Amino acid sequence: METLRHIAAACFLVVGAFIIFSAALGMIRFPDAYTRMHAATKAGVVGAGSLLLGAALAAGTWGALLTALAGIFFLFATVTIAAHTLGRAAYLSGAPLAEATVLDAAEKVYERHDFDGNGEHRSDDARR
Amino acid sequence: MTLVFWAGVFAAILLVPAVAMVAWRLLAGPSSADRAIATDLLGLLGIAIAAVAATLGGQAAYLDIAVGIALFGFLGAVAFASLLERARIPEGRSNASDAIARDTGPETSGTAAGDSRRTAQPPR
Repeated sequence: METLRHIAAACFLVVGAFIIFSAALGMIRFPDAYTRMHAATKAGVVGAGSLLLGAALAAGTWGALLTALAGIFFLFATVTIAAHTLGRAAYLSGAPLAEATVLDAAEKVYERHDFDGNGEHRSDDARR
Repeated sequence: MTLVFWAGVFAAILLVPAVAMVAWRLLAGPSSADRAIATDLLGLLGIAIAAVAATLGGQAAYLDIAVGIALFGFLGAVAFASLLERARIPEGRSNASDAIARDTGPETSGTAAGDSRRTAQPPR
């Protein structure tokens, strides 16, 4: 039973580290702010939650397991809100869309402004 | 126990270039939204580092740090998001010269850019 717990802890640690590494890799490889938000929040939550579960299994006490489960619950409760508000704020502040974008479904819904002041967003050109 | 130790070492080695990549995006992000998203992912990486420190150090109390970051880390993201939605960089301080040119004369430089800047003006 102890050996099984150690094997499970090692698996969670390795898989979580790989997932959060791929999230950070997506931060530098994806082309615009929206795909970067997708990589950072979704893969980041799964990677950090897996690392928390692995650390709790490695500690091996019920208190550590309860702490890690509370941390995973708070991650799932808060990072979804952060992802939604960050994506909406990125769109409203005029972060440029990537060249490969085929559909901007919100371009007639929201009025975008230009937070950085360099005029890179293109929704005004598409609307007029 | 040694299996768990080497898994923690592997995770720690993999977390170092992850933090470096996210810090590069935080410093060099082309838009301010990229920097806010990188700040959010740095919080998640803080949780991961706390979990790996709990494993390698053998101290389960480090998991409480992870719970604290998970509870309050998203407040920074929400604050940055409300800043990005409502504010804009003051006129004349932007890094692009054509933005300054559009600021000085919307009546001479066509209609599309000037109109977009006037309608995007927040109430002072």
